[in-house]
Amino acid sequence: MSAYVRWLALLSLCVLAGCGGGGGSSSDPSNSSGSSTSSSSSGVSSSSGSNVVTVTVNAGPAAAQGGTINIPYISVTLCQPGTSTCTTINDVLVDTGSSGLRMMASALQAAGLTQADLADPNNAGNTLAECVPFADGYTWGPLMSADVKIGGEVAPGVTVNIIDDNGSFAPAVPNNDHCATHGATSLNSVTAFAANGVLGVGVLDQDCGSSCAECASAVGGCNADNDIYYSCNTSNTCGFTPLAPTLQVRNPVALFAVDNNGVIVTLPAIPAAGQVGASGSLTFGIGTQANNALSSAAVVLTTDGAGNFTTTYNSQTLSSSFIDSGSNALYFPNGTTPETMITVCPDTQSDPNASDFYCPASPVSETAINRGQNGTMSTVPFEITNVNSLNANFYATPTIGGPATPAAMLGSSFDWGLPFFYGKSVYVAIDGMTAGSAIGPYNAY
Amino acid sequence: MKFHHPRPGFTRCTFSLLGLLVLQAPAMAHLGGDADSVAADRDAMHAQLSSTPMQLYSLHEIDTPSGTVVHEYSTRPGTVFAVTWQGQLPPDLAQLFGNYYKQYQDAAAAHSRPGMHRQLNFANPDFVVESTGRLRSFRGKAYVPSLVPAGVSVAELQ
Repeated sequence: MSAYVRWLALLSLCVLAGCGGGGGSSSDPSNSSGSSTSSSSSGVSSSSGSNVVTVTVNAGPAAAQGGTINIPYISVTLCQPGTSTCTTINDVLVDTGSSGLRMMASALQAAGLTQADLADPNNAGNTLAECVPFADGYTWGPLMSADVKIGGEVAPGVTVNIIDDNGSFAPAVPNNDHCATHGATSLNSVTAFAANGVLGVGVLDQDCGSSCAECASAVGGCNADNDIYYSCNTSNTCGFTPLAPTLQVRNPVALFAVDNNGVIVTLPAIPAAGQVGASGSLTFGIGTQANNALSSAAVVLTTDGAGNFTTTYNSQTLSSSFIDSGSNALYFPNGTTPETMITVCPDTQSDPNASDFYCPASPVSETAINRGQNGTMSTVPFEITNVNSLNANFYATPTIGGPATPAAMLGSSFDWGLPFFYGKSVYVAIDGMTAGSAIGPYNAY
Repeated sequence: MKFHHPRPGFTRCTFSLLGLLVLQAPAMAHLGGDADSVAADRDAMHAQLSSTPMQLYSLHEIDTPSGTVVHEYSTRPGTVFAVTWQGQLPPDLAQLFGNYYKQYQDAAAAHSRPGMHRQLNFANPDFVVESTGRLRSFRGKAYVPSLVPAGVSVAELQ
């Protein structure tokens, strides 16, 4: 049985007493009594600071059944807009590879937060929903408006996507459009993400942007090719609808009062063999406070409109590469010659998808070169270990990798997942925002 | 094996597509389908279609108004053996995969893991998918190995 299967089988046990709990800073407002008056943190920040929260890599929520490796969690507080009715949800995945907050309905329900689905401004009586495509599936559920508080920061009235993992949302997944066809399989569960929600703090302000805002005037109108938002009527029938950027699911950081131009994810260096867990920080703002300056030593890679830059690895030019704390390994195309290929784990009866990971006989040291849209280049060394040799009790492992799509149309990807973050501060600057000495969208490290 | 359903009249010359002759669109287009199915895909996607005969196959490019680009590759007799796509959102893969879509659904369910939602790759004996991306940036390729004409390198199909 592979170590990976053992990880998945590793139920509860909470081996990680030291890292458990996902605990945001102790100054977080506790359940249902948090003040909604923003202390909007424009003042002096200490080295911790109201713009800093703890990021923890551990086994995650109990419902994730032992979790999976290399998932970074924070706590997020959601309040009914303009009220002090709030709840704090732990084990929310910090994802630099997407934008917008998505919460599992079951987690909100368990925490006692109820909030009406967001009304569709264009269709009286209707409410809004969203189908989000992923490469391996989709999520489906309604939208809501919430005041989102993270540490000392507040995003007032931000649209949040509720992932309907408990069947509480009456409208079924619409058939015959992208939910049913390009997503293939539902990711509506805590186990699919090993998280109670996903906080997308990527380089974009909105998840969809102008395509979903302007689809009504496109040839064919709003459809599966240009839209992911739905208007659902009282008969629970949903159809595509345009949605203004300000009402779309937005990166909450963009709505913070001051620290709104991006984030910094910092994780400690850990041994190549991994360790039981890790604790770092998520800092809001870049160059907006004394504690979040863009380091002069940082390499700034500007990205395209989707957050991609170019990585060259083994003579392969991977023009849709990205830095993604929501990916738990380094996923990159294998070499194409016997000398450059890394051994892939063999599929077995007990783990028929073992070949999603690399299994070199001994650790291999590799390098790749990242190049931003701005031409800045950076050589990145990394190491890949046999995934089956890793300690099954370790949730933080910097040397795990897997083969990625080798030859997709017009550019493949080097997915710099969480292993990339260990021992670094990674800056993520939002599109169009000045962040330190550079303008987003960019990644820096 | 239930793939590859050559239609009556499928020997109709591929080059008729060249003139963008509007063919009678069948109910469903699919990988493994004939050249008519390419036109059906175009219609379903409100798209422009241009076809180019190559030495070993024909390339049909479908461009949608929102910028999604789909390439369908057909054998000289006209059977679609590979498709690729690129766009802000994935195209309708049920439409593109046809009878192979069930394999795609099954593989997606089997391969989906936490921390690994940016790609989906699998190689069944008669159907291969290499798919990657996230919102605003999706790309992929799918093909039927048994239908690939001799001498064609699938890796080079863009």
